[in-house]
Amino acid sequence: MPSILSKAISLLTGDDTKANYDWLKMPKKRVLKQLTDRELIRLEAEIGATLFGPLPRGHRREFFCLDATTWIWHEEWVDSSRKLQVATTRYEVQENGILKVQEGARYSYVEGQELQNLLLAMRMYYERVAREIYHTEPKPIA
Amino acid sequence: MPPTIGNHAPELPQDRIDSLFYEIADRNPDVAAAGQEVIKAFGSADEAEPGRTAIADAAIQDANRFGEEVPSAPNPPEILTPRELAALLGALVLSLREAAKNPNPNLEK
Repeated sequence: MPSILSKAISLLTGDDTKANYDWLKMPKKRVLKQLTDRELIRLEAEIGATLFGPLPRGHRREFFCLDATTWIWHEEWVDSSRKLQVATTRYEVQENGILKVQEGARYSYVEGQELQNLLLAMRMYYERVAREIYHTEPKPIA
Repeated sequence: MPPTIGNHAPELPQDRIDSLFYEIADRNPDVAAAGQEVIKAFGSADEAEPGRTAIADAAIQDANRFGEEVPSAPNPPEILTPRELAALLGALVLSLREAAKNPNPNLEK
């Protein structure tokens, strides 16, 4: 009787004595999800946009580090005649200083208040992306 | 004038303003010089925008208060030039990005 019962149960529930559960185990060499540069920059740019306080209504702003020597300030807004205006400024760290490049082939080295603002923004950007995106403490800077 | 970083100062939380001030003051045993550096960094009270005036005022008050406590720094740390600081910050951001793309290279071998 017990054998008939156990056979009936195994027919109903299945026989797990030879089951292979390896597929349920977490692989030891798991690779964490990797984000592309573009995805990381997009995340960073969201923080960069908040560094300068609240945006005026109808404005969209991005500020981000494109690569080791290039920072971008991009802003879009609708002017009084309801036309979309776009301004993109590229800051390039060069041997002689920080070059500002704007549309219309306008080039100038950054100085004065703009240089102070830019350096503070870069520093805040580094500190905030380190903590909020990469979850690490920023390195102290002399 | 289109909006650029030239007419937009970053808004700093108060604790960050304090720490930036002390970083500057630490490098300057001469308190007057520290105060001048703070004013240079945050703009003078007369010329600054309303928000920045408060920052400059707070910094100057801190400079006065802090002045009595600052010991002379025997070896002030080297101060980076603006270009060097910008290059360093760019490199640091890139290193964070690279580390995020390769969380642990040993695991991929």
